[in-house]
Amino acid sequence: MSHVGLRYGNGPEVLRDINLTLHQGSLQFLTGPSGAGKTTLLKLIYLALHPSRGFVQLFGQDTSLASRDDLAYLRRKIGVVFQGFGLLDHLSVFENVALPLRVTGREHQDYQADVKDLLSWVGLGKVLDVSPATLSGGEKQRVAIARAVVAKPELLIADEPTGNVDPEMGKRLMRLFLELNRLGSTVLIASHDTNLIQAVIADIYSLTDGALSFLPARKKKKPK
Amino acid sequence: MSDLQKPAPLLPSDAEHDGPLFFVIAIIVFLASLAAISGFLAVQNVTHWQQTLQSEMTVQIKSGNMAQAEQAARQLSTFPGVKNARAASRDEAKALLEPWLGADNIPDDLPIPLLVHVQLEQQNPPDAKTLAAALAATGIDASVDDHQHWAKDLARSARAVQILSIVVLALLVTASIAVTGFATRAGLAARRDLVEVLHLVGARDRVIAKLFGRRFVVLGFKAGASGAVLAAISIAILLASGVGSSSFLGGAVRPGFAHLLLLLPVPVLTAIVGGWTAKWSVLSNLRKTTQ
Repeated sequence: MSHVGLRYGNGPEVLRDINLTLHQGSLQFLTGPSGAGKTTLLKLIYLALHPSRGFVQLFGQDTSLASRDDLAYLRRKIGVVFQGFGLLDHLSVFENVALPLRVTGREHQDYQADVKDLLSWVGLGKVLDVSPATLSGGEKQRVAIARAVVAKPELLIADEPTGNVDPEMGKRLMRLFLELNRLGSTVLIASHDTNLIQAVIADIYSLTDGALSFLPARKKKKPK
Repeated sequence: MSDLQKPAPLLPSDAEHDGPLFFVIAIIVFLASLAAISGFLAVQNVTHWQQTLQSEMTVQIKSGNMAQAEQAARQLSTFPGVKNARAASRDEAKALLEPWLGADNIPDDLPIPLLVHVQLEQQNPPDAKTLAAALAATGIDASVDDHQHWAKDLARSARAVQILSIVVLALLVTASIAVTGFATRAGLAARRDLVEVLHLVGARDRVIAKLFGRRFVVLGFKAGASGAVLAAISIAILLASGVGSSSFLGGAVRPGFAHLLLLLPVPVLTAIVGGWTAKWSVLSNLRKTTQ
């Protein structure tokens, strides 16, 4: 992202002059106080919003020049854990997680085993065919995470991914993100959880009042 | 555990919106079917009447007696392009006046025009002036009516009925498209969550549009079939009860099984219109509301 700004209608800029580069295979945290614009920034990255100004390039492609079909193909390379989960209650847990694979036209038989394995790994192997509406907040979050990682995305974006789970499950989910990162995915996690951020060596972006600052990983580990 | 072998439909059924829409489309299709059948029959009947008129001429003997009328008939029978000619009896001529004067109100001494009915060949029929000149040459004072005045009136009527049917059909199809478009937008608004998630996991617009399109294809087919069947039953009942026997519907060409075949493609056409409208509405809406 280069000099990106975003405003809603004629209102003030909620994000201003954002310069952000996510290197392939890197792991970053995005932190900042509530209302600073973290979710909005993530929406710009996962192409749910269009910037008011500036330049966004994703996987080498200028998003302002991409056709709607091209944008759809770019989104397939991104896995997103939404803050509100974004689960569909009329579909089962299994169907929710399989959604990113299904929209690419893959056959049900091809992905069935992978989806089941992943759901077992996140501890939801026994609730494959229930509606997400019947799950607890933590379980919903795990479904959302499973859906985000099931297609092995090149870029994983997670908005407060451990906010509703206990510390033990939080660590387990973090291991999943790290494993995905180790396999080559770029990972960006927006979080307030200082324990989670401190537990991992990663660059940190901090967003305050719509402006972004950068704290490299080595500085975080600098001895006092 | 339930069956995971078959993927669940991405777009859940929406009985709340689909039920009323089904009835609205079925009613529109019913009216459109009636308009189409009526228009088609009217045009067929008018064409039939027109052809009948154009294959006949009526000769009126202005002064003279029955013998002269019969002589004129014999003379015209041998004329090139004339199939046959026959002098109408006084009783036949009286029958023509009965609708206006009443059956028992025509006195025997009332001068009634002497008429000769002339049937023409389809190939090279003579014109009225030629026949009148031929009769005049043999001393028969007669006027020849080729029915052109009525034929033109009928042609105008046929065109008017045809245009009216097309306009009614066009209005009903437009209403159907508008209703389907409105229902699709309502469906989109109701399933905003689904559309957003599909969009963000990388579904192309066409895939999302296809989901809604498929629903309206099915709904359109069912509603179209119901409306067409209802129209067929209504026409059958109208004909069986004798209503409209003197109208366009019950003229020389009456509705039969062949006409009801016209309704066969209606469900398919309704399905196509429904599916296309829904897809177009979704695509248009996605372009406006999503990046």
